[in-house]
This record gives sequence, C-alpha cells and structure tokens, in this order.
Amino acid sequence: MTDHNPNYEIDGELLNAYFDDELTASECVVVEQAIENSPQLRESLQELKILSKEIQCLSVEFHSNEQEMIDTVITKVRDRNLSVHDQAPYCNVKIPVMARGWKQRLQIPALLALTACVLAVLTLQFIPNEQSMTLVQTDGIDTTPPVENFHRADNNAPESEAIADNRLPMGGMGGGRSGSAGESLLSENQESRDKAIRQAKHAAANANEPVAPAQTRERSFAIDGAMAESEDIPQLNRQVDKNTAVADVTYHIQVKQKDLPTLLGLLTTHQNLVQNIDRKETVGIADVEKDAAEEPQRRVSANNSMAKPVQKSAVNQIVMFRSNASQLATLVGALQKNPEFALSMNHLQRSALGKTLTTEIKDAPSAKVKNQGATTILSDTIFSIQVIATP
Amino acid sequence: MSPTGVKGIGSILPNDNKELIRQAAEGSSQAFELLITPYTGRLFNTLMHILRCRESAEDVMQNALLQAYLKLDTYRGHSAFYTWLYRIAVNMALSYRRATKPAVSMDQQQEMTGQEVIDHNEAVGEALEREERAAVLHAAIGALSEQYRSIIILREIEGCNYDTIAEILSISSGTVRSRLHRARLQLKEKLLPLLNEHPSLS
Repeated sequence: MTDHNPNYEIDGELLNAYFDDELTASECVVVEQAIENSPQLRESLQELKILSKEIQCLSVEFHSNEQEMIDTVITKVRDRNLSVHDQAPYCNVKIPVMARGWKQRLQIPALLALTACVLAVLTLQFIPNEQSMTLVQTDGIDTTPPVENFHRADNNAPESEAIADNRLPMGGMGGGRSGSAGESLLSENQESRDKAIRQAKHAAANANEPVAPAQTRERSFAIDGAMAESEDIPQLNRQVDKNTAVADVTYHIQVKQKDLPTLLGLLTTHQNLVQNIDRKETVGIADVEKDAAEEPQRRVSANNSMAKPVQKSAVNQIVMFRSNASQLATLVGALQKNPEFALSMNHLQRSALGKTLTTEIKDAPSAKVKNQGATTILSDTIFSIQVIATP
Repeated sequence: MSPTGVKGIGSILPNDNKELIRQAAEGSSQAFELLITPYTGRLFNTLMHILRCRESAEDVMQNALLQAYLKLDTYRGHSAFYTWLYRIAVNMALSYRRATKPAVSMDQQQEMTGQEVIDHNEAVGEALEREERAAVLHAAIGALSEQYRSIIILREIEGCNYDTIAEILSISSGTVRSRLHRARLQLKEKLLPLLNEHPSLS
C-alpha cells in the first residue's frame, strides 16, 4: 500500500473520487496530471481498480424465493389495507413496521375493550338485580276492563295507572337521556332508585284497584326487584325477564283543562326534574291517529329532543314528560301539594290514554334503539307522567 | 472514471414511477407490487452483503418493503424511488445488525472455510479458488465497520454515486467520499495477500 506520503490521504480521497467519476472536469485534469507524474498514484489507482473488480465479481445473492416474499409482502399490505380501511399509506405513525403492526392490531380490540368496560360500568350501575321482573303491559283499553298495573297513592281513590312500557312515546330511552338531561339521569345513583322504590311502595299500599288481565302488547319492562316483589304491590303482573333491564313506569294523571296551564307552569318550573315534556290534545281514538299524521310537531320544553307531534282535541289534553325515580318523587310531591291536581288525579280516563299510547309506541323511534340492546345500559328506572286534562 | 461493469440499481429501474407511487399510496397493493418488483433482487443482494445472513436479509427485506408501503406518504419525490427504498432497507439492515448478533454468521463460516482453503490452496481448482477469493472478500467486507461496509456495498456492488449514497445513508457527499476512501484503505489492508497475487500487480 502506498500510504507513505503525508498528503496521501487527501490525495487518496481525490483519487478515489476520480476513480468513482465524482470530480468536476477541472479537478479531473489536476488529478490526471498528478497521476502522470506519480507512479505511486498510478499504483494506487490500479489497486482501486482491482479491488473494485474483485468486489464486483462477488456472487450476486438471490433471495431463496423472491416471488414468494413479494407475495407475502403484498398479502400483508392487503391485510393492512383491510384492517385500516385503505388508509394504511396515510397513517403517519413513524414507528417500525413490526411495532406498528401490533399497535395497529391492538387498536380495535383496545377500543372495543374500553367500550365494553364503559358499558359494563354503566350497566352495573343501572342494571336491576336478579329479582328484576318484567311487567307485561296490557293493551285492551277498549275491549277489556281497565288495567291497573300500578297505583298512585295520593288520594283516597286513585285511579292513576303506572303503565309499564319500555317504549314510551316520550322519545325512548336513548333520546330521553341524551344531552345534559341524559347525563343527569345517568348520574342518578342507588339513592335515587331507593327513593323511587319507597315512593312506589307507598303508592301501592294505597292502591285499591286490582290488576285485571288484558290483551298483552308485547311490551315489557323490568322494575327493581325490591319494588316488584313487594307484597304491597299485588297488582303487578310479573314475568321474569332478565334480558330486560329497563323499568319504565308511566303515571297518568288527569287534571281539568282549566288547571292545565297551572300544571304546565309547574312542570316548566320543574324542568330540572323532568325531561321531554310533550303536550298533546286528543279527542278520541280515531282522531288521535288522524291528527298525529297531520299536525306538525310542537314542543313544550325547550330541551325536548324527542318531542311528539301535537294533536289537537276539544276534549282532552295529554301532557307527557319523562322523569326518573328521584325526580318523580319530587315532582309528585309538588303536584300533591296542589289540591286541584290531587283531586283531578282521581279521574283518569283510560280509554283515550291507552289508545294514544298504542299509536305512539308504534311510531316511537326508541323501539329500534331498544331492539339494539342499547337501552339496557342507558336506562334505569324511569318514570313518565302522562297527564290527561279534561274539560 | 465510472465503475465499469457495474449494473447499478439506477440503470435498471424505471424512472416514471410517479403513477405507481400515487396508486400505491392510495392503497393499491397491485401498484405497490409493480413498484417494488424491479428492486427486490438488487435490494436483497445489498442486504445480503450487509447482513451476511440469509434469514436476516429475508426478514429485513420483507419488513423494509412493508415499511416502504406504510411510509409512501412521506416520499416526496425529491430523490429517486429506489434511493428512498434503499435508504429504508439499508437503515433497517444496519439497525438489525446493531440489535442482533447472529450466532454464526456467513462471514464467520466463510472465514473459517476460506482459511482452511487458503492453507491448502494448491489442491483446489479454479472454481474453488474463485469461491475462496469470494469468501475472503466477504470476510474482509464483513470485518469492516458498519458505516464502511454499507458505503462499500452501495458503491461497489450497487454502483451508486456519491449523491445517492449520501441520500441513502443520510450523510453528506463529502462524508461519503472520505468514508469510502477509508473503507477502501481498510479493505486493501485486509486483502493485501489477495491483491498481491493479482497478475496486474505482481
């Protein structure tokens, strides 16, 4: 090796660059002149040529199965395309392929697991205990005797009916619990449920009308087992159904029409207690269905996201809203303080009410939500009050 | 002076890859296959010389191609696609070398084999002698440091110019020149017996 010249390294770089054809024309002229005058540089250049030739003569290494490797890569590429919905190339994750692979594979399961955890927590918070039961809603308003599934106990002879229905016409579970109202409902804890149970027991203790079997409507709900199994509520038509974790109870309160504005005012002032206030005016069964398709929707409550079409009537008015256990207790307490409401609540007109419910439930969007099984998470014991205002 | 006889990657690759790149970036696996197929042979050869282990080279190559697919959106077209692809592959190979130490590399095997053959070179034929020389060369290249080895391979085997090497290795052209010079010096020292046997120098 000719490395004795102290300037050789510099010259060596230049010679290498010359050998590699990386010099400018002027630099080439200088190097070529130096080569002509230096046997040492000529020898070095010859060594470079030999070395380069030797290396280039090395056998070319071939992949054992190149096409198979390409196919494997393409298969993985396609798999990634499927897994990320054709967005793999645009994923700006700057991580090695192998690391990205397991992270990407874990993304969907992680999201699912997280979602499942959230749903499980919500379900555990609101799911009824094993003693939950299903109440079969009776539907024979016109053909069967009046059904009293649940009695309010605010007066001497209450006819208030607690209609069990998990597809209430007030907008359904999901809709009724959307937004801040829904969050407030979801935040109700066991304490609020206990309040509702106590209220229900109290109401049942004062009930005086037996439950009459009637045509079932295939609408069921489960209420808290403690309340359902209470011997104080013999009117309940029980049917255990653990799949139904929703307990909706509708109270029907009848008020005189002249008291309706007062009631509405009361409800308005208690908007923190109720959600989805709807108001309907009905005449009868046929008119209700007809008017429901013709009249535009109108909402009483400002935050009523699941309002129902307003139906005009010359006779009755129905005001519906949703509440939950603790809210209902407060609201009922407020209603009971009003003697006019207390009196009128004893005169429930069941026929118009039942038909109205039937019509609305068929069109209720919440029914679909329930069929998807989402409401078992969103719903707890929910009470609705349906008020019939009579002239 | 150019490295004659070297069929560099630049000379075998199509220049108009933009459409394929665009389609591949949009998720077309077929376009990606067409895009990488011209490069895989040479790329594997490069990885083999860097890693000197067939299994490792195959693994790295597969991952490099996948990585290239995932990073297609980062390719801006400022350099040739093969340069960009080689940069990914070479960097992955160098990272792989740093992370893993094969129990018995091909270099070690060939070095052992080569030593034995050199000791008994009078008994070998021409073909075996060629294999011996190749083994010695491989051993010498494998003994180079990582930065020198990759630069020698890219220059001598792949025929890349300085700018391409600079892009692939993310270094400057001046660094390429100096490193290449030092790498050749080290190779000359390791291959001195072999070079001295060459008729043009003897």
